[in-house]
Order: sequence, then structure tokens, then C-alpha cells
Amino acid sequence: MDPKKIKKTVIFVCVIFTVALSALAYRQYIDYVRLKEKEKAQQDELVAVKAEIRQIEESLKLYEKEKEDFQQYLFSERDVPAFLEEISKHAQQSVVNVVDMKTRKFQEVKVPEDLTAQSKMGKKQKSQTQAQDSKADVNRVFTLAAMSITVKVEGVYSALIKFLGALEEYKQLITISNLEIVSGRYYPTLQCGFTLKIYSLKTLEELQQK
Amino acid sequence: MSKGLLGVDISQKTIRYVYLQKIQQEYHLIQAGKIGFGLDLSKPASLSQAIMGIIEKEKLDVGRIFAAVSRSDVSIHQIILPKLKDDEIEEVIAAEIEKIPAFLNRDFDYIFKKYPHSEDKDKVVLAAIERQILDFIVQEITGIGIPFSHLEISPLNLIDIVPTLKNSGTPQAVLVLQNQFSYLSVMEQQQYKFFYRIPLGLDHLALAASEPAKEHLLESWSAELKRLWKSYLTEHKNNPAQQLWLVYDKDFFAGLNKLIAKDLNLDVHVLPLEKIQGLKVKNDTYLNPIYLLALTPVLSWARKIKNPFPLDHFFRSQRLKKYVLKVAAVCLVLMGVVATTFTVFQKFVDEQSRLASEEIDSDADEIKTHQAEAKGLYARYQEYMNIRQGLLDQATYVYSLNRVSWSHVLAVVAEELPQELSLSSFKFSESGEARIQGDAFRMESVAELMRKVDNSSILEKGKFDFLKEKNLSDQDQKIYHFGILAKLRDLRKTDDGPQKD
Repeated sequence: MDPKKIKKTVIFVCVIFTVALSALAYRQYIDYVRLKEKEKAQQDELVAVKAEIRQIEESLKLYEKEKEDFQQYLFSERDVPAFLEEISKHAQQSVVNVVDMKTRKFQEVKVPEDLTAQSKMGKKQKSQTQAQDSKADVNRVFTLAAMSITVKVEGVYSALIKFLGALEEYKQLITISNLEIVSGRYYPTLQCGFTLKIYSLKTLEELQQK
Repeated sequence: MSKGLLGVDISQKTIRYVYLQKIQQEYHLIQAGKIGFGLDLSKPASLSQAIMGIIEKEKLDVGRIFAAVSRSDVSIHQIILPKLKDDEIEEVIAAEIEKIPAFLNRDFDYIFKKYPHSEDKDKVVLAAIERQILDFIVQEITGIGIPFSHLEISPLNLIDIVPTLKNSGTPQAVLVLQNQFSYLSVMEQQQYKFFYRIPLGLDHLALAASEPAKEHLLESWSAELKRLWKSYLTEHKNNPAQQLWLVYDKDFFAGLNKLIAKDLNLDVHVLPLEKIQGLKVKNDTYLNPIYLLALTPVLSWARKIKNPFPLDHFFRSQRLKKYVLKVAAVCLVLMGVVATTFTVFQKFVDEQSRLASEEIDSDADEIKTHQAEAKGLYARYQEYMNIRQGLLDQATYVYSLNRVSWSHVLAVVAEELPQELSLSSFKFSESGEARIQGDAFRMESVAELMRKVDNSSILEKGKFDFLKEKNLSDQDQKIYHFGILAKLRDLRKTDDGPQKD
């Protein structure tokens, strides 16, 4: 056999061998790169999950803080007597007579459906939310509750304006509605009736008990 | 001093040897001689022991051994063949050798050289040797352990060693008288023009028991020589060789040249060793032309002569084997390096892949654990988000209710009320509807009030409800008791109404 042929054959065999192993190595490397990409994706997902959990924890803390901040503008049970005293005081200062004042129990503030953000959600999501609500511990579910106070006062027009203005300036959240002013026999003294609502954060459990 | 070169000429019954050493760019013939030796293939190591005996006896420091074979079982021929391709000529020559009775059904090796003979024919000078003998010689000499890779079939390569033959412009004839055969060759311009073997040698003459028998043998030999020479002259009558060089054992038959010169009518000279270029002969006793047969392979190698019949020809299969082994070894080493590199790479990638897989599994487990642990947190978060949204809706609603400043509304009503009417009552429901009742002297005042309602900053959509005429009891005057419906402007949509700060 010709040495040149032997040399060529050997070189060919070596090249084939090298190419074959290189191809094998390349394939393994590709698999390895894919695995590394998967690993990176998994790590990213893990980081995202951790970040999401951290964000949720921070959101819960923020929620607690927001709740506390919100509560500053609301009434607690012990604020009600003081508020009634304040009304009496403002009535005296405004020269109006508080003729009648009647309180009702706290009731959840019902929001008209067209005003709720939740109504904009899909039915499915809404039903899910309701399901979650129903499952939620009533101890933890806070809602805004309003206590209506029906107030009847007498006074001249300007005194009524002053009295209502004083009420509106009250530091905590109140609303005045169903305002009615009637002039009677004792004009310029007018009879004024309105519904005063004070607000408080209550759990559903508290509202159910009351 | 460097190691010397040993050349041995293995003939039928003797081994002639020469020992050369290189001294100052010249090779000196230090030792020469012969020993009796009959090649017996059934006796392994006999040849190697014989050569070792020479080395030990002469105390030679041999660096390389060269061999020449001048035996009766080596066949040297000249044949005329049509011009053939190289691969075809190999087959034809092999077939020609097989026709020789000595090589019939025997394994053999051969060497040949073709010379142009005519337009359509080549002259081929070939030498064949039985494989068994060749392998025995090669193995025996190789077994000594001294480098050995040159073997000459005598007297094929004399042409390049002797300057007298090589550089002559005219055809030169050479007669080599070996132990068993005589070879008559004529060369011109480094090509054999004639090559023929006479089956009579020195051994035959030595064996002649009596002087008459010896003379008879000489006469037979001379007659055969004359016949050949005549044949040569017939073939090359235009430019025949004018002189003949004689290579033989001068010690055995002095004056043979004169005898031949007389028979052939030629200038016949004993080939002078001392005229070989680069060769110095230490002792005149070594100036025997028969040593030229042992010197030929040594000097060819020493002077790097490219012989027409390569001295390494019979080692080609051996060299090929070595080459194949070497190439295979290199190939294996290369493949080993590649395989090792691949293995290392694979191991690295496997390890890295294993770590990555573990990391992926670990991360997946951690994700699951976190998600499982955070399941309550997610639910709580969702619940809180719902609560928060609910509170926001409630707060927004309450805020929208509370945006109306009643003191401001009452102030505006007082300000915008026409002078000519009085209100007996007005009522604002929680839904924003306003019901206004009052008394007026003129109906136009009611209409003006309605227009003012429409243009009011706090009311809109003024609508007439009722109107009743009645007399004042104590005065003879009519008044109109009226009712107007309106709506508080939707202060969630507009920002220009009375608002709480």
C-alpha cells in the first residue's frame, strides 16, 4: 500500500473522528446552553416570586398603614358622645335650637352599583371576588359603616347656615343629606331637618352583631 | 572517533567483509577479509553469529551494517518487454520470475529497473530472491541489534560507485567473477545496455581437482564469454565497449585480466579500488576488487548515491509496517488527544449540566415552597385588595355625597332668590333632587325663578311642579303658591359647583 494513501486514510479517519467528536461536543454544548437558559429562566422566576411576595408583604403593611390613616378621619365608638356634645355646642354658638335628634345603628355604606370599581370587572371575576369574600373571615373584612342621626333644629336662616357650616368643618368625616327647611308660623324662625351621618370602620362581624 | 560501517557480501560459501571509518570527510577501509560461511536456513542465528564473530574477531566498533548478496539462488536477468504501464510491468515481471524453475511455486521478492530499448520496447534488468532467504538474511542481521536497512543484490549498483564507469563517455564493460556466477554487463550513460550471467564462478575453478580440469573449465568459461561478447557486439556494433573492467578475487587468480584480454581482444583492467572517490585504503592487501561487492552498499549510503536499484527496496514492506505503525500510533495519539479533550469537555459539560439541573430542580422546589407558603399571603392579599377596593368605593361615594357644602348652597339660594317671592320650604333629598315651594305675587316671578334655577351654579333641570292661586285672608290680594322641582348639579362631573374645601 502506498504510504501516501495510508497517510491520506489516516488523516481522513482522524478528521472524521475529530469532526464526529466535535459534533457530539457541540450538541452537548447546545444542550448545556439550553439547560443554562432554563436555569436562568427558573432563577428569574424565583426572583420574581420572591419579589412578588415581598411586594405583597409591603402592600399588606401599606394597607394597614392606609387603614390607620383612614381611621383618623372616621369615628370610633368613643367619639360619638363627644360629637354629640360638639353638635350641642355648635347649636348654642349658632343660635339654633336642637329640637330633635335621633341616632340609628351603624350600617354598611351601600355604594350604588354604577359607582363601584368592582362592577367594572367581569362577571366571572366578580363572582370569584364574591366567593372569596364569602370565604373570607368576617373578622378581618372591614367595611365603611355609617350611623345616621336624624336632626331637627330651629333657627333663623343665617343661624342655620352658620350651624351647617360649623358641622361641615368638623374634623372627622360626616355627611349631611335630606336637608329640608320649612318656614312656619314663627318666621323668621325656620324649621330645619337633615340627616347627619358619621362614619366608622367596622368589621362585618361587628355589623352583624349590632 | 565515530563508529564504523560494516559491509558484508554473503556468497554461497563465504562472507566477505569490509569495515570503513569516517576520518576527516573520507572513508577509510580499515579492515577487509573473508570467512567461510554456508547459509543454512534451518540454523537460526547462524548468520548473525557469523557476523558477530567477524565483529568480535576484528574488534570492530560497528555503527551500521550493510549487506550484499552474491548467491546462486539470487537470479539476475535481462529481459526485453513491450512498453507497459508501471502496474502492468509489475505483473509481467512477476510472471516472468515464476517461469524460473528455482522460483516456481515459491514466494519471492524482486527488484527491477527498466531502460529504453527501442521505440516500443523496454529492457528490464531484474533481480529476484526467494522470500525465505531474504527474510532469513534480514532477520539475522537485524537480530544483531546494529542498524541495518540496506541490502544490495550484487552486482547491480556498481555503476554509481566506480567513477571510471560512471563518468566515462564511452560504453564500459564490467565482468564480475563471483563464486558461483560471472556477470558480464555493459553500461553507457549510466544505463545497462547489456547484462548477462555465466553459470561459472570462482568456486568452480577452485573445485577443479587437477590443472587440466581447471584449464578445461577456464576454456569453457572463456568460450561462453566470447559467445556473449559476440552477441553484444552484434547488438551494439556501432559503438561497442572498447575496454572491460574485471572484478574478481585477485588473490585467487592473478593475471586473469590478461587471459581475457587475449580471448576477447580487448583492453581488460582490474577495477582499481583506490580510484573510488572518497575511499582511502589503509592496507594494500585490501586492494582486491572482489571487496567492491561488499563496499557498494556502504559507499552508496555514505555518499548518498541514489542507486538505480535502491538499497532499501527489500525493507519497504518492513518500513511500510513501521510507517503504518508510526502513523497508526500518531493517529491513535491524535485521536487520544481529541478523545481526551472531548472527555474532559464532556465531563465538564456533564458536571455543569448536572449542577444546572440540580439548580433548576432546587429553584423549582423553592418556587413551589414559596408559592405554597405564600398561598395564604396571596389569599390575604386578594382579600385585602377587595376590602381596600370596597373601602375606596365607599369612600369615593361618601366623598361625592359630601362634596356639596350645604351652608354654601343655602347662601347661594338666598342670594339668587328673586325679591318678589318667598320660599315656604325647600328640600334636598340624598339622591340630589330639590323640591322648592313658595309664594309669589306675580307669575313672572315664578318664571324668573325657574330661569334662575337653570342658570344656577348649584341647581339644574328646573321643572315646573304646580301653581295654585289663593287669596290672602286678611288682604284683598291674590298670591300664587308654587312648586318647582330641580336637581342638584352632578358635582362628580363638574368642578365648578360649590364644594367643600
